[in-house]
Amino acid sequence: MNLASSALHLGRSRHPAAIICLCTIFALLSGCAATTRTLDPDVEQHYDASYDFSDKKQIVETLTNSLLSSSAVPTESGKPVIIVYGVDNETSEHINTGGITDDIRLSLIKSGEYRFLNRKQRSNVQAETNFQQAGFVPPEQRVSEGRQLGADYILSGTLRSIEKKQPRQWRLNKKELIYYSMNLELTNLESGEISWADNVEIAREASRPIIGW
Amino acid sequence: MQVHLKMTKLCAVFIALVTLQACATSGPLLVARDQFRQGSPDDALQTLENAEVSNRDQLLLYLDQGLIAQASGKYTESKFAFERAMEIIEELDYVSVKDQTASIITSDWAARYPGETSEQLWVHTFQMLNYLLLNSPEGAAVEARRAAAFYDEHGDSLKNDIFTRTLMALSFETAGQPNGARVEYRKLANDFDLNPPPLLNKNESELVFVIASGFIDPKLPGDLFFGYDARIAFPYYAPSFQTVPQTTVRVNGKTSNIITANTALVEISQAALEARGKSVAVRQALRLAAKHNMADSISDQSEVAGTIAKVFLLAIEQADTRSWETLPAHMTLVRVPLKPGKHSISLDVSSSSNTSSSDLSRIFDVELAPGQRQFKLLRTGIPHQ
Repeated sequence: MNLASSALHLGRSRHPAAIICLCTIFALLSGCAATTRTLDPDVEQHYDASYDFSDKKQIVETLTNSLLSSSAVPTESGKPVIIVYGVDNETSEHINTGGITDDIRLSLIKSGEYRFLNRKQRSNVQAETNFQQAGFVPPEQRVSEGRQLGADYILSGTLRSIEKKQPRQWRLNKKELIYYSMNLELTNLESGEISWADNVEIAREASRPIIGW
Repeated sequence: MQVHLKMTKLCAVFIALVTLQACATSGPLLVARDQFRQGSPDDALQTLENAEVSNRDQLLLYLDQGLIAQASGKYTESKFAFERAMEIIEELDYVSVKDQTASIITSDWAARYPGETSEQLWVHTFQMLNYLLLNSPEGAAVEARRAAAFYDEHGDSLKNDIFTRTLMALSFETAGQPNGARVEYRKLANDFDLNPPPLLNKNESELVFVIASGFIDPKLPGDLFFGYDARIAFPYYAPSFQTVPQTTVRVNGKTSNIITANTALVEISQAALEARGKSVAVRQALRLAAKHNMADSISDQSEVAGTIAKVFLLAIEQADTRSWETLPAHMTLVRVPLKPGKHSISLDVSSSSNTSSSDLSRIFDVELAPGQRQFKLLRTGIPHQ
């Protein structure tokens, strides 16, 4: 006898307690089932007040658009060359800020208005060049030395957060307030001047029950 | 016949109650702690890796795992264990109806262990150390900010933890966040009447020894009797007789001027336990009333069963003495100012005032760049460490 026919049998019988029991078991079983679903990264999603991929997306889009629409860095005479010096994490969360700079760099490269130096690969580039110049590679195939690009600007920034928890008192919910501020700046290597700077602010409140099962 | 059936049911309830509440820390934790004390941290980690630990002691599992892994130099493993411990602390930061009901009917052992506030702070302290030892000062600064937020919420009983507070300042400074460091140094200066140390400049270097010595005294069970059939059991820390470790540092053969910061962890634990004394007392009173009510109700049905119930309820009243027992007795921070370059540093640590017999004697050859600060962690009081 399968579950459906059992349910039908119970439904016809006059045992409300048994029906309630069966419904509870169904509800518990469906609650325990593991599920997976694909999320649209363009739709904002937050499970709690802490930093998540929606925040990263908002930060990257806002700052990239700001830089691309700014006239502070002239791009008409040639594509400015940028080196990324990273974003300092001054929040209370272990956030990999490399993800922010990687996405900003990608958007700027795709815009075709900026060129980037690969700082992370510098020692590998050096090692590869040395290998080629050591005589293992035919002269006509060797890369020329002294032809690397020089940076015009340094891209750097800071991600900060301020957190506030509700003070201890009699209540049923615990509220938490988090404010994120991400500053990004382009420093002209020749003059030392900050040629462009902008920031993104995100403030969010989350609450959770103080009593639970 | 009916009375016999009732008695059987009552006995079954009591057996269930007694079975439900195991008044002891999970066995594998005790085994691992013993292995660690005997100088076999790898065996201890292996024991914890394969351990089936009660849900009530999950936090202790990760706290012990984190600390033992750190003492064995497995900083990444330790970091993951402490991250899990932090998640559990966060999960348990609410009033659980299930835990409260179980602990009111039986004893506090029935509830999941959320850690004393001091232990919750030290997860951040030891995590700060992991990040510093992994040469990731930005991660250490994140933990320092979390510790600072924790101080905002629970600071009064923890403010004498000069070790954690100095480490917070050092984490900010090492991460290149001088404002955060200055704030912490200023707070320390105000609370302990100290002069804030100048921040490390580009022409100097520093070696920082972090010395974890001995083992923290365990929580002890205490009893208060109210007549022959009423008892309250409570945990407490006995006064500790473990002395502050004495350190001597020689740089290239010459005695060096060092700055030390030491915390006797049991003193902070005592203060944290006292701070939650009121809530412990309220729960004890509720439990006493609930147990008496249960016994009286049973007595109404059967005098014999009521007496048995009283004996059982009295017997299962046990003080919750669970604690993070792999913690050291003292955490000492020794700052050795150095000129950039190569140095031979000798360190002697003695747990008694008689410095002629040292617990630890080591020589370190270090090379520091200008502006560099290096951390070294040492644990004393364990064989072969």
